[in-house]
Amino acid sequence: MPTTQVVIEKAKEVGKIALDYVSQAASKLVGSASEKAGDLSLAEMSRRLDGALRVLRGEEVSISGAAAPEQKTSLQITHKMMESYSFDIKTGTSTFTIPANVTDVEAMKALNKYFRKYHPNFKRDAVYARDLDWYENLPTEYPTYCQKRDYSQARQITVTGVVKGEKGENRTTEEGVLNDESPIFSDPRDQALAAAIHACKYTGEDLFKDLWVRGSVPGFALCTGRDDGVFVSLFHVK
Amino acid sequence: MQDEKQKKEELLEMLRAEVATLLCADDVSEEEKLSRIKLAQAIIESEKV
Repeated sequence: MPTTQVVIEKAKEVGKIALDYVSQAASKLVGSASEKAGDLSLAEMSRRLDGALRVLRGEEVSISGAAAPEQKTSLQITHKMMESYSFDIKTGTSTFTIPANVTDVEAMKALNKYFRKYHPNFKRDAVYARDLDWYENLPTEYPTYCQKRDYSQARQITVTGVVKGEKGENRTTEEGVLNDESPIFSDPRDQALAAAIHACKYTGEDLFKDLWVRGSVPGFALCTGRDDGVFVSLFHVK
Repeated sequence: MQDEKQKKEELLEMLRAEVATLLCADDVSEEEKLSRIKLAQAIIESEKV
């Protein structure tokens, strides 16, 4: 399989699934708004629909919430990340921005909240909840592998999927290949966030679901192929 | 009361029209349409998110 080809093929699959979901989602949206119309005041309904209309038009929108200005709601965090997310199908590169004053784990929790509500068919989280503590402690446990974060600033993250290795190799051999080639790996938190945002933004499918040990070993982001043998994939920061 | 109900219905009609416009848009990918629709729903149901 050529470099990045697997990632591209996966993205195409996700695109096909999206086509079927759009009309169902549109019906749910209208149904949900109609239901809300009975409960909400005219002013509140008008405010929410105004935000919804602007999102549908693809306009920049600031989602207001009950939280204090310096405190972002999980929806605001998720919206900002999803709005900024782009995936280049040709290169397999994902780019996204995490808003200022939001830690990685806060971003993951916000994505999980969104994912559970809007992708209830999936029996998993956007980021496995049991891994959140591990992600939180990464910088102190593995300072060499983790980029130092400045949470006071919004940060743009770029993660590129690169496929290397050969089919049929076992995990030990492939880890050896990775060690020999000394690639630059992305921070495991970046890998997890890229996969989670992609899943939330689109159909809920995990584009990177074949990752073998994503995040569980700092410096390694391995993939297994599905039924057609094993290949190694790694993500690195450009 | 009747007036408020009518205004709400007008707002809903605007939403339906915008959704229909988006569904027919050729210059927006299916993935992007889905993303916008879900986000719009999240805004409408915002106290639950």
